[in-house]
Amino acid sequence: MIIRLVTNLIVFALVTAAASMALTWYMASAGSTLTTERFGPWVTWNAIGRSDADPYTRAHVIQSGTMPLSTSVARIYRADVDDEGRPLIASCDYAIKGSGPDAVWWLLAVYDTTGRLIDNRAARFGFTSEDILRGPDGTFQVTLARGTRAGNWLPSGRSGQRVLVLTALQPRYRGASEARENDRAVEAAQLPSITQQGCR
Amino acid sequence: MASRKGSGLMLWRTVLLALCAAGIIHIVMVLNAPNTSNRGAFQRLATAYAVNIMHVLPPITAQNQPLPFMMPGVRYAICLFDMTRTPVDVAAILPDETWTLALYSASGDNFYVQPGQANREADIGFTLVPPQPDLFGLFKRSVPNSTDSRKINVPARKGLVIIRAPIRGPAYANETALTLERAICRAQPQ
Repeated sequence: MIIRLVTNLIVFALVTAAASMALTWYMASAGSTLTTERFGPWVTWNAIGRSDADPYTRAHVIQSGTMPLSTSVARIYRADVDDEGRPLIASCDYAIKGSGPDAVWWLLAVYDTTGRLIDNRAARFGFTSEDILRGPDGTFQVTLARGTRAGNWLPSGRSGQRVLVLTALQPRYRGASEARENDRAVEAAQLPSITQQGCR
Repeated sequence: MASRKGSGLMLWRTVLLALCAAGIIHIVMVLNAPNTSNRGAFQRLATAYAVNIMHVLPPITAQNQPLPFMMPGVRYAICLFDMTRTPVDVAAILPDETWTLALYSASGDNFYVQPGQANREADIGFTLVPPQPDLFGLFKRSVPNSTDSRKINVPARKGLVIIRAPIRGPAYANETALTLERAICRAQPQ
């Protein structure tokens, strides 16, 4: 009887601790449909930085150790995976193609999973809407790769998982239409695709 | 046989109870995160920078990145404000619409943000007004909204001022740094 009681107590403690920590970590780091929006590989927190943000978004900000701009002036999109849902890893090459957000200014940068920039000899950590090279049709292609590439090359470093972050300052699709779905479609169309080109 | 069945049922009940308890603990953890975590940006910066002074950070690189996910194409000026004793004056120039001046509470709420204006240099200047303690000092409440546009009611006594200045090209790097250095953050004399 005592053994059974002790076993149940241990099970209770283990399940409680594991489930509460796992749930908190997941909801505050990855987010859910309540707090985030997904556009292909890109994820954005809907109320990040706002003083009226929900508790999960506030926990996310604290946990990430960042001071993001409020969604009233900026949108921050994060991609941990490519268009096929595979994690972005340093040993693979990726083509990031698109026209970029219709915003006052934007930045595409690459980090490791802790948010550190990737050290590289070229001292190249990202591209902005002003310094990126575009084609005649206004679109761009960034190559995220370990070795040097022509054009918009973003070094991915030696090893490990990578995170792409696209920050759009004062994006213009918001409020352009009365229908939220139309806004979403415009927003989705402006985000670049991420295609794996090969791994070594 | 009956005893084994009873034991299995009890284990399932324990697991179910544990999941309910986990849900409650999860809610408490999430709601308390801003007050209990020491991993927030303010806490990280507070160990490295003096309060009530505007610090212009060097360009963000892999070697120089005080916080995670800082933007490499942007120059930052930061001020950790502490209004424990007196209000704090803040002033800055925002040369164009890509610049922003943002105020954060220590828990990461961006309660105020002022973007620059298109084709026009904007001089920003205001005083941060702290929340007032109530009669017994047990609870804090915000002061009534000031009608003075040069005063901003701040929900917390400690927080951050961050000026973000996108670098529009190598030719603008010096000018950007000089403009940031003219920003002011200082406690009012007592």
